[in-house]
Amino acid sequence: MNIQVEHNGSDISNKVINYEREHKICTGIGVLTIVISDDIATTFNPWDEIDIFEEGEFKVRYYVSSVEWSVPNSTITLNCQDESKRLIDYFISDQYTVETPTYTRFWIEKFLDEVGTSYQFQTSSQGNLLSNYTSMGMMSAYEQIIILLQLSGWYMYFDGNGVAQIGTLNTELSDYAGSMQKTDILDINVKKDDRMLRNRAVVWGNYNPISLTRIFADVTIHTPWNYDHNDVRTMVIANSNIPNNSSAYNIANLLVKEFARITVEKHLTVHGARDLNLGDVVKVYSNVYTGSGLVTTFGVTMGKEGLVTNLILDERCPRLFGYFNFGDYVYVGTYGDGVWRKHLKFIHTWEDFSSGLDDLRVTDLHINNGIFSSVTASGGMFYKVFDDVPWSQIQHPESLESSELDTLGEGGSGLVLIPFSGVKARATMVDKNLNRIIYGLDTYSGENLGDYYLELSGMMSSSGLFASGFVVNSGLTIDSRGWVLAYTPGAGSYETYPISVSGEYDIKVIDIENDGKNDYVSVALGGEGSLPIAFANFGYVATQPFAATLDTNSTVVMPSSVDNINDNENSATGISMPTANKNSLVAMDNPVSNMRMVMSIGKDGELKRTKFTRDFNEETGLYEINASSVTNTSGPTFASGNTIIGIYPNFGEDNYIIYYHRSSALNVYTFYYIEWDVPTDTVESEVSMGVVDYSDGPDFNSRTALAVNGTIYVLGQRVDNPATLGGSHVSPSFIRVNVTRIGMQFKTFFNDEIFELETGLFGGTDYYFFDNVGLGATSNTIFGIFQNNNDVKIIGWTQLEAHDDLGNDSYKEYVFAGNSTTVQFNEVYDSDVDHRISPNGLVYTQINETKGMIGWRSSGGNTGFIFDGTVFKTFTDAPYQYVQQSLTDSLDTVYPIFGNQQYYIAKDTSDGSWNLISAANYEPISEIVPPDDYSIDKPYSSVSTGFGDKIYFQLAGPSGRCLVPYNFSSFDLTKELHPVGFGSTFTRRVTHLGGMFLRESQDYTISDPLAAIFYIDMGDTPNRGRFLVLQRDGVDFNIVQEAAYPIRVDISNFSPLLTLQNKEATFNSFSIYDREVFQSTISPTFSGLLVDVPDYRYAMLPGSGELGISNQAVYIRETSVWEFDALTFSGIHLQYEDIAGSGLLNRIETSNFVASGQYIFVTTSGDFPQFYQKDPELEYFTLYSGLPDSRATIIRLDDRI
Amino acid sequence: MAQKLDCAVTGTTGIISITFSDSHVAPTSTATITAIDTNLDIGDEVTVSFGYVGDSFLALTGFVKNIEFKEPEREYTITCGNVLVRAIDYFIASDNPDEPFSRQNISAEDLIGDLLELAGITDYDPDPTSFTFAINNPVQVNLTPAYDYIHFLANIIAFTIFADTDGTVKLIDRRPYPVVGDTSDYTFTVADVLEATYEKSDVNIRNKVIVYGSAGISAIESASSPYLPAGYYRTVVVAAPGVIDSQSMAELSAEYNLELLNRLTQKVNLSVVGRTEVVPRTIATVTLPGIGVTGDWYVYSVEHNWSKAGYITNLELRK
Repeated sequence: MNIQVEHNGSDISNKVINYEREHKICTGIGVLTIVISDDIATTFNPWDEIDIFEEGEFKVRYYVSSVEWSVPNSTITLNCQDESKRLIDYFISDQYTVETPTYTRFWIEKFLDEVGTSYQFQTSSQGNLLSNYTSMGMMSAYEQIIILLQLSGWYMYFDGNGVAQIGTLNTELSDYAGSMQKTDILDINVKKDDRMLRNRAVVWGNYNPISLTRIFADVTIHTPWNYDHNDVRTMVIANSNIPNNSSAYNIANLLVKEFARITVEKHLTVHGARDLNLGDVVKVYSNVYTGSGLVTTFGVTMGKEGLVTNLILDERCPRLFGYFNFGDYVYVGTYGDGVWRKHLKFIHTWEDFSSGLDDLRVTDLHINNGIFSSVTASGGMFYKVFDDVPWSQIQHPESLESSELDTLGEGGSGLVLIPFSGVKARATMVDKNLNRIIYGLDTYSGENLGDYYLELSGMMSSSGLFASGFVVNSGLTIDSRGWVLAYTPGAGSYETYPISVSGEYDIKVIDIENDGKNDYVSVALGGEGSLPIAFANFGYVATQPFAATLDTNSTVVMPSSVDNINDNENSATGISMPTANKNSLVAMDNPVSNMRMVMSIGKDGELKRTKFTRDFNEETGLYEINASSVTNTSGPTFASGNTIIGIYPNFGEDNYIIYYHRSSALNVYTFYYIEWDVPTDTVESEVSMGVVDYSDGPDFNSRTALAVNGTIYVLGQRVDNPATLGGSHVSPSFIRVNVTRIGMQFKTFFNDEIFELETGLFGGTDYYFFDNVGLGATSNTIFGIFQNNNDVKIIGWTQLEAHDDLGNDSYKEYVFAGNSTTVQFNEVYDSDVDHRISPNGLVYTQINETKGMIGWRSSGGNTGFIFDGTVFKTFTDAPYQYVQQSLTDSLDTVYPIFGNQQYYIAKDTSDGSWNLISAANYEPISEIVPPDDYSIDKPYSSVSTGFGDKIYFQLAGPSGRCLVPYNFSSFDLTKELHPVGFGSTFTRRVTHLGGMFLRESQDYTISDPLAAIFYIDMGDTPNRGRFLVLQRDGVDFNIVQEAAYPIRVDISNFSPLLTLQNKEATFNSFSIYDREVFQSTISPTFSGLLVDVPDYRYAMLPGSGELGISNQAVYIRETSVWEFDALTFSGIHLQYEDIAGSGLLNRIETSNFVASGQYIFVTTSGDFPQFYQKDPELEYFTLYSGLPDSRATIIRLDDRI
Repeated sequence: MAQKLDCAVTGTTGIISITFSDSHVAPTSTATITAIDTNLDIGDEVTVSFGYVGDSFLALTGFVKNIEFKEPEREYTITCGNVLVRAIDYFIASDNPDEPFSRQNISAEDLIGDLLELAGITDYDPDPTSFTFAINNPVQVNLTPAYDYIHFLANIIAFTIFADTDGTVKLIDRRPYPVVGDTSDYTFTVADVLEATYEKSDVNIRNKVIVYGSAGISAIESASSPYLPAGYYRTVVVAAPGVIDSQSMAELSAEYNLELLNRLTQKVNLSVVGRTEVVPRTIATVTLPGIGVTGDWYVYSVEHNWSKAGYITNLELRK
């Protein structure tokens, strides 16, 4: 052992039996107990000097306080103290009264001078102001100075040379003074207790004899370690030195920040005498705890056991608080450039922190006590223990992919699931107390995108390629699995916890958090056995119509038809129509301007861009999405008659949109694409992709285009020959169907003839067949193309008339069904059967994706027909049904209800009544009676995919035209929607996508490109799965919240759990205790402020209009940062405006415990992000440029700060 | 025949030992558990049961106060207290200095109930006390832990406050010695006892009680003690200004406390093979002629030491 002990300068080491010394930051006192053999020829007296040297270096000088002689042990025990002995022994015999305003530093210096000890302040601050008539003295100097330190938020200790170091403890968390490896540690205890847990601070100060009021501050917050919300543990400081409320609140705030958490101390014994000081940060590697820690007690023991160092890390002091001032780095995760960091205070140069990451698309990141964890786009789990080693990857446990775990336990089905793309991590968090690393994993497909709106938007799902998490292995029931994985870096081991709710394991992980006590995981749970089906998920759009619009590549195409709507009022929705002219809507993100827009192509063939806002209508209590500004762009223009058939983002270059369009020729079509740089309105020249010649069939009835899963399908259906020749019927030789496929991502082009029906197939040679279309009498051939999951479905019907040589007429009808590669047909009628549709009357037909076809004849009997085009085989087995129409003939008033297989709606034109019709027998079931003072215009049914039973009627009511939901028995006038400007210039057509209504003008013009889009919050969540926040308690998962939208979770320090769905009004706050979940009630203070929230945190900050701190939620609202009380939801206010000028913000982070205020960081949206930082003591943001080009996905500080 | 040990602690496995202690005067019963694994955390609600297979008992319903995890042992040490820790943790501090918590003309049991409710304890089952406080002027309570003030009130009326094993807080008129009408709950004979000591002392005798109430109100009760010299009085003062503001209440308090305190302390410490049914505030019949101890005794405190090494119950009996 390399130690030396000197007594008054003489080496007495060879007489020392053992010693133990200890210095505590909480008291500022260092003590030494040394046992010496009594055969030493030295006299010891109080105030003798004992100098300790360890490992060859002088450490501390102590002064003897007492000497004990022991017999028969034959030892002398010296109890010694460092220079603090001077303060303790010195009694301030005078009484001082503050008569003029003075600061604490003045008095500390005065008393230290009086004592005669050396000191050094680590701060330039003068401390806190003392009130008049403050009385001091008549106590020991130590007691007096501790009181003054407490009022100042400072600490004090004596260094080895006996100099008192006073001030804030400026500690760099990443500047490690020592490393305690497993082989260094002799024993380690982690102790948690709530002895110092206080969640309320009451400060009483001076009494103001003029105002007759007492200085008073009262600050309360909640912690997860309280028993429940009634458990308020109060600390009170009453001190007449506190001159005003501001000082009182400063102290109360410091107290709450310091004491509103449990104590988690790490007690270590390591071999050897370590060269450490109070306030040093050390690394600890052990099975019990791995991470960094602040040395708050330091001691060395020398004895027969050897020379060991005793450390206590992370103690909190009962009398001193708020004296830490941590320095560290701020980290930014990016989607493509890994993790970058810069120092908070000193060198503001960004440096790459990605070494070891094999996927630089970082989508989640967390740091606590020097432990880093991250998740990448590909679902990789990475971590690093301290900042000076590369990232390491945790391999996904093989057990999670085993058939055993993927077998459903409940229900006994034994279904073995095959993960679509393997196990992927979705989110990560480091346990706030014990530094376990937590990951949320699942087996859903799709990569992480690091953006709520990108990943979870229904629009994204509809576009398919962007869909993340909602794509399941084809052919299987939508069941997958989710887990929480807890990794202990010190032990290198992990535990997994399968997530389940009431026996359901169909889980997708969205987000994860930890409050130092429990894990909280946000999940999507399959509702009634199914999550939204990918690629056919327009229904999902309904609830988030503009959700997918906040970041790069979030373009979505929703084809619609203008002509069909204008020309065929009775047609169904505009998703796929057998008409020529296509219109498209694009909700897009411009990473620079970040506007949310809808783009449309009008009949004039010109692109319009409409900027939308969502506004709350105070009168109706409903939300309206209005085209608040309309901008004509210089975007692509097309030759007259050209038709847009698809719009797509260019993956190669962000911000580019590709337009696919088709020439206007009658029978020969050229297909083109055009690329458009949206931000600059720069349009490239159109590029020809291919030509399709339909001239073999002049009776070209269908050129319908439909975009599904990134592919445009164009249906071409035509009939050979002119139908007449010299006034006589001539048989057409064929009916042909071809499908043109355009891959929108890679600009591929294919054209396939998929079906041909030749004349000879129809019977004997003595029959002539013709298509009545050619005669101009009826529309008896019709084909439609529809989305069918990630393919299309083609169905059709035709009626042919035959004349034999004897002049007898007969008729046959055929139905067709198929997909993008083949179409089959079947005869469903011939003249030997009584019922027929045509001729002798017009036949109106409708086709939709779920009902197949419905027809109605105009005269000659009340007949209609229907067949289900979804299952072709049934055509043979059960030909289409005849409809015995008992209503008066009403040719233009049949309305299918999408997704619902039981009803139709029909209008009886004889009396104007509306009726619910059975789909089974076509008989009226009941009359639909509008509310009093209302009349029915027409119904609009939602598209299919889970929204089928939602139907709205356009009613004319006392307040004008409106949309009212109908539930098959009554109208809900409480949800009556009055679209803005619902006037005569608009069609009565409304495209209904669940809660979103697209109302179209009768004709598109430049000045009136799109009219408006309305959004109805329907209140009842469609069956698209459930979104839950679950608390993990061991292997159990308890439901904390259930909501209509995917939920984000944040616990910035320890409580509350602040959750958010998509909009401001969807914040929720939960104070969670072991026996109670206390949910804050959302107040309607968000009215009118219902915008998307890209990111949020909360921190202890002064509230609006109050002096006390509270957990203030800070969130991004476009260009600004807003705040409100995270517990009460009160005091919502704009805190920092236009931080990056007009640049939109996308990510935010705050510190949690900085004493004087908090750091706030934000980044701008899109690629080439800018980073802004607000320091605690400042009220403005500073730009620190130099981040890489990729968009920022997350900003993180070590949670300790 | 040896019995097989059994135990259960919420969220805890691999239990190595349990030490449970409770007494007539302890503010809360406590349990200390060492175990291999636990998912308990600070503030968690916990129940602790132990004993033998087929003969275990619920010892505590309460909260986790302290957890320690250490290496190389790799053991958790968990310390829990019963529900009255809520009152211990709750410091009464008015949110308006000029309007502290106050009550007027209120029974002792109701005032205690209101204070317990402040601390979030609503499962409360008091005996009627016959005491009414603050009859004329309101009593104000501020800047004190709730338990301290509740204990102070209980002392004034010589009642006992405690939480039972189910978590119900009870206020009972229970002297720490057998009284007429008590019936024995269990017996201990020489065959049961591993170790026993008997002690008697006059240290706790107080034969004069002075109660100070609000201004002008006081009461004095005294009696001679056969264990003190004739005419010699040891005095205890109950100072309850603001709480006792009627002469009758002061006299009642003095009378109750004199009866409680004017007694020789006789104490027996027993160590027996684990007995699950033994809890404080019960009566035990003891027959230990070797140390001159027989008859009914009040179970003043109990400590159960349960571990893989065995199960021992230590008791302090008084009369």
